[in-house]
Amino acid sequence: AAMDPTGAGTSNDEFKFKVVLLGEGAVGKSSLMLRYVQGQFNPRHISTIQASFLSKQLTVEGSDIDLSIWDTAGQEKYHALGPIYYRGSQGALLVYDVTDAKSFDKVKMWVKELRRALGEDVILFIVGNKVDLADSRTVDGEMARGFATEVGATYEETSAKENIGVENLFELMCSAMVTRARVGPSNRGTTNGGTRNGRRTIRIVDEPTTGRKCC
Amino acid sequence: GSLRMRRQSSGSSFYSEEGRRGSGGGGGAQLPLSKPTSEVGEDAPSLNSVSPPSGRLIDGIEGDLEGGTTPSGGLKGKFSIDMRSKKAAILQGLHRIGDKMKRGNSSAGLNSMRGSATMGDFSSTVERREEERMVEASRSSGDLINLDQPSADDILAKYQRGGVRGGMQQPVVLVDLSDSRDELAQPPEEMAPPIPDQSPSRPYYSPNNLTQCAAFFDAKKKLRFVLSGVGFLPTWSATSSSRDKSRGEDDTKEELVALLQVRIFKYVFLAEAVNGRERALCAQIRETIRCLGVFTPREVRKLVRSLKEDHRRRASYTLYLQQSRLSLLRLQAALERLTARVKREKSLTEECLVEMWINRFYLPVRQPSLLGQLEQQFVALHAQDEKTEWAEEHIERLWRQMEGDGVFRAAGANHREYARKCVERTLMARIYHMAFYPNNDADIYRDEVLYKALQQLASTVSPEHGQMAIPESLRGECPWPSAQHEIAVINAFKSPRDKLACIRSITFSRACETISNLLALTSSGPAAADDVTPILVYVVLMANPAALLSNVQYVEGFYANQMTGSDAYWWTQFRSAIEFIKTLL
Repeated sequence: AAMDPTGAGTSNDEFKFKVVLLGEGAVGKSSLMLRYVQGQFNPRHISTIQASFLSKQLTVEGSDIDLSIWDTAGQEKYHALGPIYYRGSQGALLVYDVTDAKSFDKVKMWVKELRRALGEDVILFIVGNKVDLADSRTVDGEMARGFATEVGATYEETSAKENIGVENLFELMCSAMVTRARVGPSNRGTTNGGTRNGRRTIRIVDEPTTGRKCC
Repeated sequence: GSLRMRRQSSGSSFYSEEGRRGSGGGGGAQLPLSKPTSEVGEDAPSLNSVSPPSGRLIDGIEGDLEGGTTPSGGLKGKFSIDMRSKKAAILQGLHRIGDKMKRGNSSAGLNSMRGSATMGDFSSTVERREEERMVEASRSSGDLINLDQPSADDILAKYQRGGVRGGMQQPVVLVDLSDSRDELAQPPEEMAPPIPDQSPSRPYYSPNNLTQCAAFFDAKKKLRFVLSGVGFLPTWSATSSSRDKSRGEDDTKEELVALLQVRIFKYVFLAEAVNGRERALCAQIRETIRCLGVFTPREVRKLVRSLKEDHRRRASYTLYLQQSRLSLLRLQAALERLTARVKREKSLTEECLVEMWINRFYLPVRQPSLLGQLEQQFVALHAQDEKTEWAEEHIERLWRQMEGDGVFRAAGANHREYARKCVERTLMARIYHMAFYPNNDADIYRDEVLYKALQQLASTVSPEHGQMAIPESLRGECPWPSAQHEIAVINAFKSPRDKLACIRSITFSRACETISNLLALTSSGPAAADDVTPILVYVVLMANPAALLSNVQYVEGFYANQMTGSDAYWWTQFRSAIEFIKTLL
């Protein structure tokens, strides 16, 4: 079911955005998120904060935004759980490790899946993380940028460790989502995934679960 | 059936109170209520005598010391044995010093207190106060002295007497703030040197009778005061320790070094104070330097030696004060915990009362047949979305009605909040058996099958298992019994909100707090989804609560629209853990 009624249609000046972080394990999703929300990398001394869900209030282009960032487990075996997480989200950060070509392949998979499930409404960012490790880089930035343009995503490079481009990344993400939200949801791609339009849709989504006999 | 349900409902609310209480319980507040109370009772007198103005702290302790009584109060009772022996030593010293003590002729206590590291906060407040006083004093030096102690005459006389009797070993062990306040006010006062005038019989400075002349004591006092400033603490302790080390070697050389250090540090201090714009302090330091200028190097050496002697004498008292401070801090922490606990109990009690009122008085009296009607209405509904809509609508309506009731007008915001929660609970508990198993036997059967399958799986699977693959570094606390326990109580809750709170508490507040904290200890950073998800999968599998699928379906059906923020996230995590477990079967 839809996780929360998104603010996309409620008011012009208040939005609730949900952004999921997708990507292979150990590409630095959590670090990216922490860096953005807490302004620090690997904060060992703060044990009470937890890095899998974070929310932040901010103002972008005159709109108040309540931004929720959802971290997901990147291990391959959890891949099938993806839909549970990304359902109802307005943006997705597809993170890969620039020193790991395999993680970029995973990003390609996610792009395909998200476009299929959420249509064109979801804002996709492809993020090459760990650019501080320039020496062991294996994924070419231009190639990645080309791919992003091709699939209608934005390409950014970051380093959570050195705090390069992190703030900028989320700002771009927010303004893109604001722009999209103001235009209003397009009607494309809602056939099987558009859960933001109310209860009737939920019911369709829920029904298989309800009726299923386990095993 | 309905009777049973009702009993369950009240049971559930009780459970949820319990749960919440537990959840709030958190840290170290697990002391049984009665015990801390008695503790407080014991401690109360000493605490009272000690707490409010910092001045009285010292008085209180002093009073104890002076009385020479055996440790009696709660404060004393907390001291370890070696502390007691230390105290005995102090008492002995006190006896030796005899009547001088009674004149309270001391500032040493204050100074040594400042010097102690553990007393940082406390002494800094004292310090601040003193500094304020200093400023005042430097503006109008006369005023302050009139406050407590009569006049400079008295002080002077006192010091002279002290000098005559004690000579070098000015015996100053005890603290009396009123006195030290006086003393602090002294340097500026002496700028316009009144003392020689007032005691013409004795020269202010006499090289022949150095250790007993007024100048010597003035200088010593000033030196002590300036050196004891908190800001200079590290350097001061450094010098003293270096002196201690070289003790027993070449005495004169050591003294010389010390002397040099004092000289140098004077100027360092001055520079610091100038930089820090601490005007009052600046004036004091300048004055001290001027004062020292009167003496020959040899005399200054003597002065330093005497200072050092004083310092040594006070060491045990310093320690005693440190210990006192420590136990006071402990007491304070305990009291704070207790206060938090009492507050929590208060809000819980209020919540219970509101619930009681609604269930026992409001609903039966004002709306006697309402719940029965609602129940019948609900039976007629079939589709889940109709049910969801119906529940939301009726909770809202019932709440509006109640809010409009005259009885409720005076209720505060938190009572309204409780009442709202309670309305939801009551209604949901009433329809629970129908809402929870919409397909009756099919749902029950499904749950049972899953339960058995999970049970079997749980007996074979281990954290190292390929599909669990919990990283070795995180396995230290396996199998996370507290988290399992949290999940297991999910069936005690009847309202979807409470169920969600339960899940939330697994994943977030209680158990996952443990998980998160443990992760923070073992792994490199705070809990990331990469780490939490596997653990959650394992915990859910091991806990294997009854009617898992129905629970999910129920919460999804009746609460999904109201989930926001982290609730939504953790619920999703929980669901995805279940989905993942299903794939393992």
